[in-house]
Amino acid sequence: MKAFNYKNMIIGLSILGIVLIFSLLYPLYGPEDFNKVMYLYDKKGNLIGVPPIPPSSHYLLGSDRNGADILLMMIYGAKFTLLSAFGVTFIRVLIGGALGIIFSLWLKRLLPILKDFLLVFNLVPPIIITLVLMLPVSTTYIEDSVYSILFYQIIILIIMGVPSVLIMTSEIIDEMKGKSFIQSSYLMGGNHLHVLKTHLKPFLTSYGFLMAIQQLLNTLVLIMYLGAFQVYLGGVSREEVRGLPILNSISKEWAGLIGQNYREFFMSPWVVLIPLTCYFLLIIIINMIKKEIEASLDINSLGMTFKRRKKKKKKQNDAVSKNNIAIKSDFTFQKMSNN
Amino acid sequence: MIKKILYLPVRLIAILAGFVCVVNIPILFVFNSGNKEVEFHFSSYKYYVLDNLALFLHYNDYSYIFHYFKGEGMEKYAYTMTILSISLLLVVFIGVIAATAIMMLPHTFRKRISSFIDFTITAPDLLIIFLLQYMVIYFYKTFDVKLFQLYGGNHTEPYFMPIIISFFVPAIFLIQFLLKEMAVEEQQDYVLFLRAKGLPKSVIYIKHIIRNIFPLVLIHLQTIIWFLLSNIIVVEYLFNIHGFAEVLRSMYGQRAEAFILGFLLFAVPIIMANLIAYIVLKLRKRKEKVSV
Repeated sequence: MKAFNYKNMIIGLSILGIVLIFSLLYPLYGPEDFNKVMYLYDKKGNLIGVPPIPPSSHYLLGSDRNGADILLMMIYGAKFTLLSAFGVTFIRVLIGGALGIIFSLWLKRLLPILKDFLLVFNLVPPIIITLVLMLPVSTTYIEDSVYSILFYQIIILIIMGVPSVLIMTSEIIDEMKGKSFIQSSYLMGGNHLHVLKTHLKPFLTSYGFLMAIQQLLNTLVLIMYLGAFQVYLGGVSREEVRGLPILNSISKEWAGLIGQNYREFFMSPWVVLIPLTCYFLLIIIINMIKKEIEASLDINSLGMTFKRRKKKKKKQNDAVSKNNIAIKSDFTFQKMSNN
Repeated sequence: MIKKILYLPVRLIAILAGFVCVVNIPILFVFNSGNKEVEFHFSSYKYYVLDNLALFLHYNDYSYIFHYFKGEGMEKYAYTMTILSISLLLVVFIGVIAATAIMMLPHTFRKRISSFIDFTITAPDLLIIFLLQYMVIYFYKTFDVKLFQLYGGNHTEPYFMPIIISFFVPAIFLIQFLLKEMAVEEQQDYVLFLRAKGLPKSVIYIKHIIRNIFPLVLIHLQTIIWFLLSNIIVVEYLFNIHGFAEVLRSMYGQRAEAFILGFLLFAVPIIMANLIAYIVLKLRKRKEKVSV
């Protein structure tokens, strides 16, 4: 791995890291109520505005209907969005990969039944399952329980992703098992553990990296969908959006900010557009990283050896056709000579 | 073949067990609001899972199913499925037409359009749904047209809006996929032969390539339906329309079997699509395989 080959990844991850550090240090410097102001006066005491206030020198990104500063809320909430998305992805890939390896090497007989058992995740879109399973924690305000609600939600988000990782891992191992170098390793008496350590490991690590990024994207999109349904990470707060019966997100995570404010578009568009653009940028950064890794692994999203195989086939075909011509000419020549 | 048929009940039980286990997850991990902790109850989870499975497997009286099919839930289900089927038809129709049209353009245009489509796909679906929604409302506001009903009310069932908004992202996804596949198909020998014979581009694409591509569309119906269903559910929620997802959410905490049946009903369209793909591919003797 050469560092300069992963320029986008380094830049993207450092941007996310800086945002995360600012967010984690928020309690040290930020006001707890996000500078909530109901009437904004200038120095002479004249009333300048009432919330929602558009982006200006007072509020860099404007304020929402409750008078809270959007910039501060976004900084505060970033850690919830980022850490839960990355954590969920990491555990998904870890558990799913381990189970996939175990089932496709040692418990091969159980694999078809396991696939049928997990079919529910293929048949029903994940957003429906997640919405229903998160109902116990998503509708009522419970005091001082942000982290335990988040823990419950993270468990369910992990469960949603493990089956797809498991099945993909088992498919990769199945494909690799057909290769001649692995088969000869088995023939020479290598057991599963040896094959896993020496032959499968390099493939699995590179595929696992790509799979992790795909899962990260899936998790982010799922969290965003949940926000639209007003199911927020960390639960709801007692506060409502002023004038509308919509409960606020307690953790101020970005998807929640989008979900609670999406009706603001025509009256005060900045309230919803700023979190939306930030979320969009987050997804674009991760997509860029994904593209870079794909390019460095030379994987064509579906069949990785498609190009090479085609070239090989062409070579074989050329060889065969040359032989054919040779045989034919030889054959005709003989025939003529016989006659 | 006999082995497959004998194996079928095992598969069915495994699938059903999957549904039951997923539905009962809130019993396995209980959020206790008293001491604010997530508790792990395996014994009661096992009890409920076995209980629900037994209900499905040994129940002699299936009257509750008929009761279930009579209620308001089925009307809502029919409504959601109508939206799904109309938008699915639109997606396949427009997707195939647009993809062939783009392929027939000159090379530079084609590259530009396909890179634009690649970029749109990376945008989160929800962003596109929001923007489309705002656009439609903006049109309604500025031009004061009231052709179709926008928001759902007590018992209203609007069709136009959910279809228009939910079909957009899957259609782009299908177009992107078809463009990729057609570019691969172009390299085949028969296309070269047709070109050498001097056939025009339109004949090559419309008559020959589409025919060979179509089975791939059938295989991908599953993914398209997946996209469509999640989009439709979001649109229904945003426009305050009471669809089947709302019915399912309101059923939570009542009888588990009704709930599981609801999930199974959500799975029906994908199973149907896979069946159709399986039959068509078998009849046309294609190599691609589809499994439910």
